Amino acid sequence: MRRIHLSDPAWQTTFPFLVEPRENEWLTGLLLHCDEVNHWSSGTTLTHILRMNEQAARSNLSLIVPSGVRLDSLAQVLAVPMHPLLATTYQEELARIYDLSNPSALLLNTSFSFQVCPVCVEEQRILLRSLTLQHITCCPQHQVALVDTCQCGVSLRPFSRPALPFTCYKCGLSWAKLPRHEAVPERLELEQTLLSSYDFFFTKGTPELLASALRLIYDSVVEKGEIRVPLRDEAVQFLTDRSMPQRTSSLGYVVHALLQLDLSPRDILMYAGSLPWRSVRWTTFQCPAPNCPYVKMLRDRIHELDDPGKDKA
Amino acid sequence: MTRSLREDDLPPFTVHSYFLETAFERRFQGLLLHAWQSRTWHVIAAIPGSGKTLGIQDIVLQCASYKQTPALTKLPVLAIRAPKNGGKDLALGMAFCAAFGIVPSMAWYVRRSWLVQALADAHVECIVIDDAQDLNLAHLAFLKELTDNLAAPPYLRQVGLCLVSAHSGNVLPLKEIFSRPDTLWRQFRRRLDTERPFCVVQGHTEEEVRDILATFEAMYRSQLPHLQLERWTKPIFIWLTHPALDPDGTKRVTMDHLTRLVTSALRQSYEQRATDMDGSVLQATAELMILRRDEIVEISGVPATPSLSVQEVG
Repeated sequence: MRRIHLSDPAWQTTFPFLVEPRENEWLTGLLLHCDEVNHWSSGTTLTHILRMNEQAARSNLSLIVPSGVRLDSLAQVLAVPMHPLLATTYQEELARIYDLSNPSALLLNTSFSFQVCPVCVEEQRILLRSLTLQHITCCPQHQVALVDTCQCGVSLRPFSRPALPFTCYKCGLSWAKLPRHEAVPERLELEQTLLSSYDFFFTKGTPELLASALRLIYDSVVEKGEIRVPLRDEAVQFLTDRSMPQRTSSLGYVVHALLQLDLSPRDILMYAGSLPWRSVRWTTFQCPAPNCPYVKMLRDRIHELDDPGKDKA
Repeated sequence: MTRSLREDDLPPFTVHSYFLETAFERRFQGLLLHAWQSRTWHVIAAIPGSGKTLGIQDIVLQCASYKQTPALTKLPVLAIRAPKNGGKDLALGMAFCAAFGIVPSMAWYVRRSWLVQALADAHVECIVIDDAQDLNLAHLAFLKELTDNLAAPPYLRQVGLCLVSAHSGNVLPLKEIFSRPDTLWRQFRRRLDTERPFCVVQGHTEEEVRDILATFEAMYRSQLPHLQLERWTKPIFIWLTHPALDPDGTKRVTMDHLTRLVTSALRQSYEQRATDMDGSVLQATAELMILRRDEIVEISGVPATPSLSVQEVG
């Protein structure tokens, strides 16, 4: 919590009322929260930041990564360091996983649609970063279904002047008053698995680990001979040729495929690095012989998951 | 006059620009504080160079204004300078907005209502407008609208208002406007304080000049070790109340004149390696301010040393 006194030159370069990123907050929610505490219409902060860098506001910004939004400009007007702002996007995680300095949002989610948790909005005026993850349809905190359409029938839009922040741009209904449907337990369980996979990649992901996951997925498909049925709410989206290559390597695709094939982060770690021969059977390999070198090799690969404390130390 | 024995080059004379709580400032800030605490409205005038702006700055800095996350901004005393070159209500609105920091561009009708909310949320309790003699009718009408909206539901906030202006002669800026029969000005006049609606804050008496000189003595003794300024009180007071410097015949001294005279004489004395004020220098400086203030100084020749470092190119 920073306090800026009137004598501080930062007074003149900051917004009248300040907000700072909260834990797991998504950049879109932070911008709306800033609009709200300053009594501005939805999108005023975003438009100002874009204008600072002579860019026109775009209505289709996903903000999964900053994608044209200069976070340093936002850091200046909010008087917050850069790192907490970066943490409101998946920029750092995607950059590490894909070894790209400016990763595309499509590397995370190829079928992004804006959705909110009405309870999060009502209780904390927050949009969680996990709302942007592909295949996530329930709020992990409140176990309610995420909502992407207003009661008046229009799709929710994050920014739309002159609507108020956190309201429907068409009818003005507060997102906090959107219907709350309790999530189906089976669905919640399934999404918990997806979130664990996402978390695994966000914390440990590297290009090598991603390659291992893709190799494992490929071998599983080949060896098992089939892909299980898709997630039931999955509306398969056919993308343009230009973005097609990104789909099969996007994280959303990878974690979905891992779920379909019953593969876990432990399996990915076992599959990382060289193996005596390629086969998904290594993920279930057991050997009765004491001091089996293969068992030791596999155990060494997954020790980080078994003892995360040791890894941190 | 005592001469020092220093042979080496003198370091440059340092002028201290501390805010001094002079008698004028106590009178002036007393009024501002009264307006703040009692939420009263005043037109406060003083002659140019009295120290009004410095007094306002000091109050603003002392009143614990801050921005803090999340969304907690406190600006109990909001001080702005009246827009120059006239302009409409927008110009005054922009000046208010600038006091908050960065405010994105928005339509004027949006900004008008935003300002009311922002003032209420920032806990503004007193508005001070410096150079209020530059306010025009559009500005004053907007000021009334703004304060009326703050006083109305849902905010219900009464704010103090100080219109601080420079004046000369017997003319008090804004008094004539507020005396007009139009409803708007009658309403404005009604909001002014009952006991002290229009105030003129006077400059310094001879005794008050003596106190200030005693303070200057303490401030500059590190550069002129044997400095005794108080003994010059009488002549300084006479010089600075000369009709050339006191055209309204107030028989009071402004802080601007006093500071200019003393620091200029002190600097010249210091450069002559004196350890106390040189009386002849003081008198010459006073004469320059009084008798030869409009004299045109011819600058010719070339300075001994270049003031800026020069780098050859090419």
